Amino acid sequence: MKSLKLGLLVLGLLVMGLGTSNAAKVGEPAPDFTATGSNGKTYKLSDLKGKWVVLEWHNQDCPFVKSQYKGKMQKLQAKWTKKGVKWFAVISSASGKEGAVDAEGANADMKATGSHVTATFMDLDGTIGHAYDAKTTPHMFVINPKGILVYDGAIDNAPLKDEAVAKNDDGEPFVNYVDMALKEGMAGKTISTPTTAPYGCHVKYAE
Amino acid sequence: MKHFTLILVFLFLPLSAFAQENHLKVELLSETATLAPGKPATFGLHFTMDNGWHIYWQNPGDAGLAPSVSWKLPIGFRAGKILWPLPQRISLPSVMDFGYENEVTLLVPIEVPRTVHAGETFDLTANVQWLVCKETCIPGQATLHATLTIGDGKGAANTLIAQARAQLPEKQPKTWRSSGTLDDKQFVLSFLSGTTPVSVTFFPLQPGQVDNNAAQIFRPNAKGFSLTLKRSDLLTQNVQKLEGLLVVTDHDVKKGYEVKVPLSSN
Repeated sequence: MKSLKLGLLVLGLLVMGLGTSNAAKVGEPAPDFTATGSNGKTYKLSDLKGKWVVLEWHNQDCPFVKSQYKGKMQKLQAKWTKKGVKWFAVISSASGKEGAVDAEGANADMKATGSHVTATFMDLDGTIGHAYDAKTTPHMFVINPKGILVYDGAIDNAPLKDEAVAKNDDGEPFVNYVDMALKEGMAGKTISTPTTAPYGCHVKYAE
Repeated sequence: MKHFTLILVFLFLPLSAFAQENHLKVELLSETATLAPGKPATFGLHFTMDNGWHIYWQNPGDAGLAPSVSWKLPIGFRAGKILWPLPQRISLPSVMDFGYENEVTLLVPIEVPRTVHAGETFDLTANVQWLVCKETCIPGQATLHATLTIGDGKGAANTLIAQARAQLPEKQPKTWRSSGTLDDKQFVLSFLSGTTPVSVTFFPLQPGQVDNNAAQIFRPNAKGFSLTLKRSDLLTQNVQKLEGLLVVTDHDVKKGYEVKVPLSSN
């Protein structure tokens, strides 16, 4: 009897474990983490309650990221950080893989591109990346002041378009989903597109 | 001498039907030597990738981007959408791509106007864009040219185009019945097909509905088969139908069917 109970307990824990394997889910609290910035500072997500937070998965050598950094991404970062949004680039490339840089390299990249991020997180072991199930660069997440994940997906609907476009390749009007989520969220409206499929390069996690 | 070679290269480039780029070669092919007035023609974009590199299907899966083409055609000619041969699942650490390795020919139907005459020639230009990936991804583009001659449109079909045509999906057979359920964890699709295939793989047409990387559970039964697919975390609202490509393997024969499965939500 005791062993059965123990068995059930183990099974229960296993099921719970499976249930929480995809931790980040829109509408639920964003997984908390502590991160080290390339600026040497430490950040804890739960300390940022009361602020809007954007997480941007980053790899400076990925063509999709490079295309965004021809101007579109910096403009968006500048627009929203001026309004008090905390915007973090996250590097989850494992050592030796594309986009893996040390803090100095990350700082040099931020300077070279004129990035307006609050800080760049060094997540080279992929802990934060796996907690959010970040799949691509740039994969974007928006967290509201209550700490709830409100957007998970692509940056926009026009991959590899260096310049602002009126329509994407499918003839649909151009939408930047992060801009739209922040605009709607700050105005107290429901976020009309809370999830999209992210596009870009794979995040180069350790195998 | 060096300058002379360079000039020659520039002279020939604008007229080429193929381009050799990073890890990939792409060639523009015509199905027949001549095109007949008023008859639809088919062109092919034949991609050859270096070992280990791949390009993408129309839904690229967890990452990547489908190739695209824009045409510059003579007046009266019209290009249709790309027809995609059956893709494969390309597994990478923690993600799943849908695409093509080694080589593939994407087909594009082109309408030829009735008003053209035998013996006339026309120039056609295809601006092709792609993303080719292995561990890293490299975007590429090429401008390919072909000269069309109007004639009877007959003669031997290009082999690569014929092969690609044989790999295009068909409509779901009329005798099949399909239905499905969707709950917060999974899709369960049931097909009354009258046959029990050896294996079945589903490729979702829209991103963000099915968890691409999860195993697909195939269960044959007396009247057909069912397929269980993990729901994507990105699918926050239930959908009424699931559209995609069903690749059915029956012994050595592999066939693709375009399916649209109506769903009831539990």
